[in-house]
Amino acid sequence: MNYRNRQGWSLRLGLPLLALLAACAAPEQPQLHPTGGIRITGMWGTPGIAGRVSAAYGTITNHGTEPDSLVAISSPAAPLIEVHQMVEQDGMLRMRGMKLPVAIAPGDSLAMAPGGTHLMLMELHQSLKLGDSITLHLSFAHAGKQEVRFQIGNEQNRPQN
Amino acid sequence: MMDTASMSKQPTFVAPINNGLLGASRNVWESTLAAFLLPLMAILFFGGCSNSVGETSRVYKLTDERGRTVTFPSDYRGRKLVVSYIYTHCPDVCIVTTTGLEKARKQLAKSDDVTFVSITLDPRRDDTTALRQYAELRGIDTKNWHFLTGPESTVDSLLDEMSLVRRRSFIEQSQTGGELYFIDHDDPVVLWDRKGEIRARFKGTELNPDDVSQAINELP
Ligand SMILES: [Cu+2]
Repeated sequence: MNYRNRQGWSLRLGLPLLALLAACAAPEQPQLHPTGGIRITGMWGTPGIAGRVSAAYGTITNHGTEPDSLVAISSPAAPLIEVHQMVEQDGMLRMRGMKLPVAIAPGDSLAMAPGGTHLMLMELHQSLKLGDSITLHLSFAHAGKQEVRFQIGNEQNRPQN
Repeated sequence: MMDTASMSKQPTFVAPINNGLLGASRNVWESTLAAFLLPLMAILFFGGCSNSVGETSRVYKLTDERGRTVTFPSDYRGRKLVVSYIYTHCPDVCIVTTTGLEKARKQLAKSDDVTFVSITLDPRRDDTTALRQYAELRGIDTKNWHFLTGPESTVDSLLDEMSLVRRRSFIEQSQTGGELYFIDHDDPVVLWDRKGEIRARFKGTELNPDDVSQAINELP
């Protein structure tokens, strides 16, 4: 048995085992839905003025074996939230909306970072300043609804969650 | 001060006068007109059209984030000046630029002779209050960083003179029934010396704070 196979074995056995352990250790955590392996990490948001906008960044990874997709986003912080992408066109930086659902293949991630993809919170109910926290609900076709709470920061000083 | 209207009429204004000057017959009235208009044309043409991004030959009455009147750029002569462009509905690009500049500012060897100026790309929505909040929410000390807005026509002609490409886009229906729009735009950051000469240009979204602070430090 070569290295690759051994690794394959340990992965195949290890992941469900880990998932089981995680489920036992933290039964109150809704992040690990039995049919989905969606993990949301490194979330942070930018300051924004009430009635205006804020961007949220982080990584959504599909650790599962089935394709999944982000189907809905909501938050008590803003009535309108979309996935946007920055693209350079005609010497200008343009923001382009990505339609939901956004598919995430097994082993793939939706990586969101400044200058690339972001979650756009529009018409903020309240101003968000450095150090504030907000909650997002991200719904996935298989992994269900997941809640993330994270801090408002800036690029040089990203809050850890 | 020239307004936007005279700038936009410029092409149709220049052409017939040129023909008149080149023509063989010329009466007194024409010569007088030419003598008066030629320098004016030169000012308009060379001052208004041939400038590259970031230079300006005219002055603009603007307002800073505290509501104080600023004559741009003449009020800043004698200081090192870092000019960038933002708008407060800008979710991503402007923030990358602003954050990079804030980092550069904190690295300066000497910061009291440098002014940072961020000019709004969206004078329609960015009033003094919005700009002040934009700075405050990010913890930016506005002592030497001014956020400028003004009448739409003034800001627009300034942005035009700076050759700043921009386009309103991505219009959404707002929850309150209004219109929510964004602005596609270029992201230049320009460093001017104390005499108003352009000494360095950076791309806001790809800006390395070390390069910016070094360029500022090296300016006499
Ligand atoms: Cu956006």
